[in-house]
Amino acid sequence: MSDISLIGVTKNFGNETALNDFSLSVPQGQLVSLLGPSGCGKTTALRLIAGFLEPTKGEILVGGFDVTQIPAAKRGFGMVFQSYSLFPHLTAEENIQFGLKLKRVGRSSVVKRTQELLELTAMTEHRKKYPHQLSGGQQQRIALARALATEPKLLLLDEPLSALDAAVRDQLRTEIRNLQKISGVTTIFVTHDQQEALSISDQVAVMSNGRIEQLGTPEEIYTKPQSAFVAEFVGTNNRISAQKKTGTLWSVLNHLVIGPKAGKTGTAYLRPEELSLVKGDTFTVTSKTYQGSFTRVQVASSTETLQIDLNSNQSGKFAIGAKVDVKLNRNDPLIVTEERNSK
Amino acid sequence: MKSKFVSNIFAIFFGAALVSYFFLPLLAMGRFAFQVTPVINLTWDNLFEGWKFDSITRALLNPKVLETATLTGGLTLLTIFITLLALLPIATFVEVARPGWKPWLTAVTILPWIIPPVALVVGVAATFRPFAPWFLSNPLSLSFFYAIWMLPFSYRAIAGQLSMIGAKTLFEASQSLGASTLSFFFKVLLPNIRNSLTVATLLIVAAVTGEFTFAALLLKQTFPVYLIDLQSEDVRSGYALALLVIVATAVLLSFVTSSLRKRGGQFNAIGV
Repeated sequence: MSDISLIGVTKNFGNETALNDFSLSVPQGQLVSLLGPSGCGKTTALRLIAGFLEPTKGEILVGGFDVTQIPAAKRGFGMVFQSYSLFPHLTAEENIQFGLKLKRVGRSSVVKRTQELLELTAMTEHRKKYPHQLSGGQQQRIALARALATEPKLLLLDEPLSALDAAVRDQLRTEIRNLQKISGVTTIFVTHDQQEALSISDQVAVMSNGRIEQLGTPEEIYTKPQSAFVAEFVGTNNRISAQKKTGTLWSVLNHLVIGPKAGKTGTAYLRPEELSLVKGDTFTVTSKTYQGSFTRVQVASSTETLQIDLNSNQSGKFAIGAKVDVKLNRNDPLIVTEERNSK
Repeated sequence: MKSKFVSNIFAIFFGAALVSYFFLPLLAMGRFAFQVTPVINLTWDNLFEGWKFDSITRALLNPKVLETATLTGGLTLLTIFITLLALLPIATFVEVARPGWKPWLTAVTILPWIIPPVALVVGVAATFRPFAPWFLSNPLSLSFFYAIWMLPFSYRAIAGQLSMIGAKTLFEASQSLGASTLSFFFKVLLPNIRNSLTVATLLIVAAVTGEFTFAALLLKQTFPVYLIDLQSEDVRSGYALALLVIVATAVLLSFVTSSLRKRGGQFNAIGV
C-alpha cells in the first residue's frame, strides 16, 4: 500500500492532448475519484497509472518510486474494468486465484486468501460458477476480489459500476467503499457519475480537457465549486445574473452577497436547495414536481427561470400560478464574472 | 397463421432441395458404386438387390490410395500448423495492441477469395522456380498455398472469437494481475478461443481433403487428384472411395459442431 503522485503528466495521441500537465497526489489509504464528462482524460490518467499507456511527459511515483518505465505486469496494481473482464474459462474461485498462482503463493495461503475474499464479497456460494452463470453485479464482485487478492499497492477502478442497473449499482458502491476501507488500499476511481463520486470518495478531482478543474472533498466540490464548469457538472445549479455594488458586495435577486473584487456583472450559481420562496410579486410558479421528501418548484420571471427544492410539506403553500419572491439561503455563492472565469 | 403457412412452404421447399441436390445424387452414387447391376437396369424396383462392397475394399487396398491419402493427411496437418503459427499471433497482436489495423488485416485476408488459384500458382511458381526450385518440387509446398487459400475462413473464425471474448481487456486484466504476455497467451487466450481454433482446423481439414485445383496445377498427386485418376482406371471403386470421403467428412463436421454446441457458448459469431 502506498501513496501515488502524478507529476506534470502529459499524454498526446497524435495531435490530440488527452492529458495536459496533470498533477495529482493521493495519500495512502484514500479513495480519490476522477470525475468528468467523456473525453476529459480521466480514463487516460487511469491507464497511465496502470501502465497500459506511456506518458508523453512527466512521471508517476508510487511510494516515492518512479514507476513510469515499469511495465503494467510488474507494477502490482489491482484493476477492475467496466466490462468485468473475468476470465471466461475459469470459475469465480479460479479467477480470484489467478494472480496468486502466478506469484507462486503456497497452496494453503491461496485457499485461505480466496476464502477470505469470497466471504468479504459475499460470493462464497457462487464460487464454483463460471462468469456467464453470474449476474453483472456478482461478476463485478468477483472482479473486485480478483483485483484485491494479491494485496495490490494500488486499486484502480475504471467505471466499475457503469454497466450495472441502478439498484445493484448503489449497493455495490457501498460494498466497494467498505472493502476499500477494510483493506486500506489506496484507490483511484474513475467515473462520469457525479453522485457516485460524491458518495464514495475521500476526495474528488473534477476533470475537464485533460486537467483537474478542482480537487476537494465531496462537500467542497458540492458546496464550494470554484468554476462554472464544476458548478454546472456536479449537481443542479441555477444561473442567476449578479451585479456589482461596491468592493466585494454583489446583488443577486435583490439580496446582498459576497463575491469577487473584480468585475461589474456576472453569474451567480445557486443550488435548488439554496433558494426558498416567500409570497411576493416578482416570480410566478410554473410547475411543481413531487420527488418524495422534497418537491422541485419551477418559478419564472420575465428574465429568469429557477428551480427551487422545497420540503414537500411546505410546497403546498405555493400553487401553480401563485406570485412569489425568491430568497437566498446563503450569502457566498460562486459568482463568475464575465471578465474572468473564476471567483 | 400466415407465418406458419410461410414456414411450412419454406420447409417443404428446403426439404425438396435437400433431397434432389444432396440425397438423390448420393444415393445414385452409392448404387453405382455398390450394386453389381448395369446402370441401365437400375430402377426403383431393384433398389435392394445385388449390393456388394468389393469396390470399396479394392480401393482401400490399393497402395496408391494409401500413399496419396498419407500425403493429403500430411498436407492437412502442415496447413493447420502453418495457419495457427502465423495467423494466431498476428490476429491476437492486432486485436490487443493495434485495433486500428483490423480493417487492413481483414481486407488482406479476403484477397485469396479474389485471386483465382491459377493466378496464385503461376505467380508463386514464376517467383520461386528460378532461385528455390526445391520448394515447388516438394509436394508439401502445397500446404503454403492451402494456408493462404484458407485465410478468408480461418482468419474470420479466429478474429471473430477474439473480439467476442474481449481479448484486449482480458489482456489488460491479466497484466494487472502480473501475467506476462506468454502466460496471457497460454493461460487466458488459448483456453478461451478453443472453439474457433477447432472450427478453423475443421474447415482446413474439409477443404484440404477435397482440394484439386492447386494440386493438379502443380502436378502433385494428392488424394483428390488420384481419386480422379482412379475413377478413370476402376470407375466403381473410384466412386465408392469418393462416397466414403463425402460421408466421412460430413460425419466429422456434424460430430464436431454438435460437440461444440454441447459445450455451450455463442457460436453464431464464428459461423457454426
